[in-house]
Amino acid sequence: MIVIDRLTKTYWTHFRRKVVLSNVSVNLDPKLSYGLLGQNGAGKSTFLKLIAGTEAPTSGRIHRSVRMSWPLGFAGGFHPLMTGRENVRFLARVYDADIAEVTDFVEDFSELGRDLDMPVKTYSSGMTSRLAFAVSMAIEFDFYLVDEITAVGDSRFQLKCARAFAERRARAGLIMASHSTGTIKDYCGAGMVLQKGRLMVFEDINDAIEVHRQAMEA
Amino acid sequence: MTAPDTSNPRPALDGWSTASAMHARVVGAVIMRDLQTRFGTGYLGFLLGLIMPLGHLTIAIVVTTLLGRPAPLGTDGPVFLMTGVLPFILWLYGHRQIMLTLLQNRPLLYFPGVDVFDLFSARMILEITSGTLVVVIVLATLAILGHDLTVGDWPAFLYGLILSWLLGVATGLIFGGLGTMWSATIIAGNIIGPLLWVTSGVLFLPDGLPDKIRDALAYNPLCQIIDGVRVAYFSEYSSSFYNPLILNTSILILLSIGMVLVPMTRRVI
Repeated sequence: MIVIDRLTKTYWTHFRRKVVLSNVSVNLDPKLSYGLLGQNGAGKSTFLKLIAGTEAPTSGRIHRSVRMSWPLGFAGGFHPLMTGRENVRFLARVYDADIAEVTDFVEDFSELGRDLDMPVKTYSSGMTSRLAFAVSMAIEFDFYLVDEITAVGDSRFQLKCARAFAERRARAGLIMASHSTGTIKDYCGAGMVLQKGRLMVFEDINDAIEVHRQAMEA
Repeated sequence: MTAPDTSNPRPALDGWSTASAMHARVVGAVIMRDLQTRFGTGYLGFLLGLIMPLGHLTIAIVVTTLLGRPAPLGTDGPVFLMTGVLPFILWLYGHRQIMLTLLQNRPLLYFPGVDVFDLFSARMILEITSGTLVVVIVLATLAILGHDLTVGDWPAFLYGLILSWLLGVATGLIFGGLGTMWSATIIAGNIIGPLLWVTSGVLFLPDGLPDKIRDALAYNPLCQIIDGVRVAYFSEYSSSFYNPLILNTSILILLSIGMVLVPMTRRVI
């Protein structure tokens, strides 16, 4: 369970205090998949960072009794001078996963072949994405975070990613931020709408989409 | 294709011991990553980095030889220079590496469970290890070359070297922490290196300077450390410049400021 207790997050931008979240208290169930909706700049990405613990709240607390993933497919943490394999080994060490198992899985899933032993700086963006997605699937989490899902590789590889992700989601929770209500509906049963610092949680994703639609039209 | 075995879900991060284990793992993993990437790729780069201080010492020896200056203390020029270069190097490498910690590792903070304290802790552990090896390598090289390494007061000598490392940690935390808010601070942090090389007594004794300059340098902790190291090394040297109270107080204050800045960086980055 993730317990969010009186969470407030503010930023100073252009000498103005921007409130992203104002005194939000909710509980998130790791058995559910939440679609996170909100207008541009509402703070969806910030909310995901707060949930992950990679950004500190201004006030309030987030208690996590589950293992949180990094944003699915995030490649920014790869060291460009290290090989793909060395980067994978680094993440396996951090998350106490079996290094050999994780490396074998990534080698097989990413289809990078010998390039896995080349520095990441030599990779194309497609290769980097394949590596990032593979390592995201190789390490088990209780709650996956997705900030705007993007297609990786060709249609065959996309299908493989979808299957691996579906397998993971069967055993884990999900919070997915997206502008696409269609994508959100495909992946999520529950929903959240972030609006002017308020977070509304809905058991049915259709209710969340409707509230979001009304806000967009207002 | 089969995914890695997930039949045993990982423990949650709610217990103190579990959280500590996570931090220990992260620190260990970041140390390994730093070792591999510090100077180019592979562990060989790290080993090459350990002998770089010998280059600083060689430059200092060449410069003083060319200037035709005798050692202001003792009879062995390279040994006198070592007592200045070694603390300077320990400060400089610690300062630079700690200062650049967040700049070089910021993306790692996107991985849940990785904290700024883990990144700084990893760098500190690596720096104290490499600093110890640097001291051994420099002293061993001088001994092999036939220089007399009779230290007057070993504990005080080692204490001075430890203070150099601590000062590097303190200034690194301050400049690195402020650097997350104002990037110009990192530039300033790089500039103080050559500035302190010239003003910290690596090549001279503060007691030989005019009173006004000497009194101003008394508040330069690195100058105090180097003079303290020489007081410890040369049993015949008595300094009116070395002031342990100013030195210990200034390092304590600088370390406290650095430690306060670290959690503040989390709110900025």
